[in-house]
Amino acid sequence: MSEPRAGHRNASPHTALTRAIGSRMSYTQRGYAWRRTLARLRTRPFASGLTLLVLGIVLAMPVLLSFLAGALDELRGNEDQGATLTAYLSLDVADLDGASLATQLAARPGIQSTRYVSRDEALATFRAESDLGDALDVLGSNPLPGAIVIAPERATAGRQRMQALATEIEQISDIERVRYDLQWVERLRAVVAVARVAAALLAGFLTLTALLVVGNTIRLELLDRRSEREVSHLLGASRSFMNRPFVYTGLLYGLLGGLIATGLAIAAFSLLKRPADELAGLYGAQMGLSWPPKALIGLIPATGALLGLVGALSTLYGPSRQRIYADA
Amino acid sequence: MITFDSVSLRYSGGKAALENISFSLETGSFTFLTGHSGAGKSSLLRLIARLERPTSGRIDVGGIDYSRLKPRRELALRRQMGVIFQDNQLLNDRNLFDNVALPLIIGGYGYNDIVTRVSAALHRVGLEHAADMQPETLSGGEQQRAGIARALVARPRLLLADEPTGNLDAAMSEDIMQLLLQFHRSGVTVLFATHDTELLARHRFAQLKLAGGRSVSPRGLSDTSLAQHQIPRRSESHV
Ligand SMILES: Nc1ncnc2c1ncn2[C@@H]1O[C@H](COP(=O)(O)OP(=O)(O)O)[C@@H](O)[C@H]1O
Ligand SMILES: [Mg+2]
Repeated sequence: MSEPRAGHRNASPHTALTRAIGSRMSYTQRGYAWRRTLARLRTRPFASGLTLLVLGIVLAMPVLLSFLAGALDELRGNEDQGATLTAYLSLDVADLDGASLATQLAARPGIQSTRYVSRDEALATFRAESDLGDALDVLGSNPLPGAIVIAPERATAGRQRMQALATEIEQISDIERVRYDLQWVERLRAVVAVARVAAALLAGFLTLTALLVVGNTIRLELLDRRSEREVSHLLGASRSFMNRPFVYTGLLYGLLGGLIATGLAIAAFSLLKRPADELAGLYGAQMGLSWPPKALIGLIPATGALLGLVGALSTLYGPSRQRIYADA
Repeated sequence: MITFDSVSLRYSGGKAALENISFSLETGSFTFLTGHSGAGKSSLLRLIARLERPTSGRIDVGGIDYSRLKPRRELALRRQMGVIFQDNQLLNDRNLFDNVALPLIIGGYGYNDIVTRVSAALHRVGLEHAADMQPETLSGGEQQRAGIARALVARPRLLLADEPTGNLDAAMSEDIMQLLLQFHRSGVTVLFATHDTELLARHRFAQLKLAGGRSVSPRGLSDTSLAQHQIPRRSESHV
């Protein structure tokens, strides 16, 4: 009876009541659930913040990966315009013959345009672009053959057709060898394919991780709030009444985690954009990394919220749910 | 109001907690449920609150046969009875007002109704001034009174009290008893589990006695009119 009490004896009953009563909203069933959810989040800001950060990272990763795969894919889209065949002529072919061969080739079906590169031009370019230019002087004569750069028609683009065209041109007697610069495109194609599969797999794993993180958070909350559930059960609360704060918790975690993920994805994207654009430039593509559409960005928090909801519901109603009472 | 007909309860993997219990309580009665620790008092109350199901036998409360009760009705039924425990089970994450308001929120009451009823309930147990306090800052007796306010705020017809004075000294126990008598006088049927011999000696109501899960009341207690109570003086000290 002599327990310390915070001097409430002096407080007027009326002011105590006024202070005690919450907002009108918080006494409805849904308002009550939200109030409990937010109160819990506030009472353990550190743990909640940490969970949210983990969720944010987990959700941001697949988003970034799929954006990057998409950007690489766009790069690849430009490949075919850039791809050319280079037909190297025999050393003894005269400039005039080479030039007329180029004109002849340009008239062939499947070829858009051609350009003749004379032996002198090749040498000049080589001198300009390489430090080895002086070494050529030692040789005394120009070792570089003339060449015809062939741009195929769009319809000819693609590995098979380019190959066929190359073989065909190689039959021409003055042409020594045909090279085509498709390897990097092929490699890029392979990289993109791998990146896509990896992104899909990772997205699957990380989605599962997000569900587990939310599920685990809810499980801990359930344990922590056992007495509240017991009392509510005793007072005749339905299962949905008792579960509602936890459903809201999952939803909120998912939504906030999704917002954090959006922030992380945007930050990472900004950081990646410049080097990626430079890389694209190296490959001769005009387009670099372009920003994903706004709608897609808006989808991240929505997806997060959905995952949070599913994580909470599967914990509360799934096969692994904890039965506090035989009938609840 | 409450009828038990050959009711037995066996917890899974345990021996029988209650065996072949039969009794009947009138509406508006005040009955002590007595017996040593482990006698089965809590189990019996839990059966009435439908927190447990009997292994065999028939239970009827307020004309409702429990064996025919649909799950939905079960919740409604629980909302129509008040339950008080030894450990008052107040929630420490909210103030007293919100603790007492919980049954009304669960019952879907409107805001104005909630404010009126909770204020009145707190007033009746003398805790209006502490409405904004956290439960853990109150004394044991005050906490128990808050528990009573929560049990009675929805104006149930039946009150089940499971050793509500178990943790209190004599004066505070009497204080709680007086409060329950007040509600009893306003028509609430009370079943009060206790093994507080002092309290039982002072208040001579009908007793339903349990020992080792069996009823040891004379003639199974069907007549509660034997309750001859002298209302004791209100104890001088209080919380
Ligand atoms: N949930 C339970 N599971 C198994 N046995 C229980 C459970 N609750 C109570 N018992 C047992 O049932 C008997 C009666 O317990 P209880 O009803 O709590 O008695 P009381 O309230 O009179 O002390 C005791 O032997 C106790 O151990
Ligand atoms: Mg007990």
